[in-house]
Formats: sequence, C-alpha cells, structure tokens
Amino acid sequence: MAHKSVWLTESGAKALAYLQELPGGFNFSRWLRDMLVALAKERGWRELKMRHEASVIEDNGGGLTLYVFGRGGIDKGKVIYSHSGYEHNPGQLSQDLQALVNGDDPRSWDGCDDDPQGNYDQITSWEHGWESVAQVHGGKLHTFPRRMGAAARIEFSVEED
Amino acid sequence: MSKTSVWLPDEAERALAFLRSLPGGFNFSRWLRDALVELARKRGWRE
Repeated sequence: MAHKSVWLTESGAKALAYLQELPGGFNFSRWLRDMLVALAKERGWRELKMRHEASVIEDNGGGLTLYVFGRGGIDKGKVIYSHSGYEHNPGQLSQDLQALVNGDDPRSWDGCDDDPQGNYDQITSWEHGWESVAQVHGGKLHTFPRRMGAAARIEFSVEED
Repeated sequence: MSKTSVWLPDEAERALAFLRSLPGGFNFSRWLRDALVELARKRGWRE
C-alpha cells in the first residue's frame, strides 16, 4: 500500500476528528478507498483483471488436457489446476478457456486432476508425444492449428489442411 | 490546512489516478472535505 499524505481543510479535519471519536471508530483508509473506487467506477473506470495463463496440451493418444498457471504470490507460474479428458466432451474445453479469458479462477472449478504440477512436469519432460495446441496468454486465447491432432481440430473447429 | 497521513491501498491509488486523468481533472482536496463533512453530518455532527 502507498502511504499518502492528504491535506485536509479545517472543516474536513474537524469532520474526520468527529467520525474517529464515534463509538466503533472510523477506518479512514478503508472508507477513502471505497469512496474513490466507487466514484471512479461511476465515471467509467474498469480495472483489468489479472487473468490466469493456461496451456492446452494434446498428447499423441488424442487426449486434451488443460493446465492453468497461478497468477501471483507463491502460486505464480505453478500449475494450480489441470483437467484431462476434454476429448470426450467437445465444447467444454472452449467454454473453460473462455471463462479463463473472462477472469474466472479455476480453483473454484470441479474436476481438478490429482497432482496437476506433477502431470505437467511429466508430459513436458518428454521430447515427443505432445503439443501445446492452445494458450491463454495476456488475457487472450491463442490457438495453433498446425500443431493440432484430430481431437483438438474437432474442439476448435479447425478444418484439415 | 492540516495534513493527515493515510495508507492508501493500490486500488485506491489507481482509482485516484483515473479520476485525475479525466477531462476537467479532479479536485481531490475539495471532494474529500465535502465527503467527510457530509458523512459526519449524517452521523450527527453539528459544527
């Protein structure tokens, strides 16, 4: 948090002193934040949400797995969620990717695989047998049709070359 | 004018920067005085 010095007029200082003396006190910092944010939103301010980065891996058995990375703190860059088997339910992966683009937090989602980080480390340690066919990066979905096998082409409605 | 120090969270700093960037600017001191006085009056303050 930034430490800001605020100049108060005499009447402002008296009003603040009065509020702070009321039973229960007055959290000036929190009140000021809430008021400024509400006013800014009223006037068109939109904060860009930090979005999770994600990668979709298609393995050479036609399996589609989504890996989502942490966006901050101790989770930054770690795989915090993975879900495999999207090839059995076409359309679900695209919905989940769109939710990530919209700023959803996958930790509230069902179906997280056991040991997402371990699974990711294992498959990406292989030289062959997998491709990253789509990514969420910078708040946008990027797809890589040339890398796609049959399952990914169905999911992302990509026609054969 | 008296000077009061306050911890301003990042989000509030960004909101304030946005308000100041609007055409016509934003008189933070005056807005703060008016908002504090209005709130204090609502809670029973009589000058």
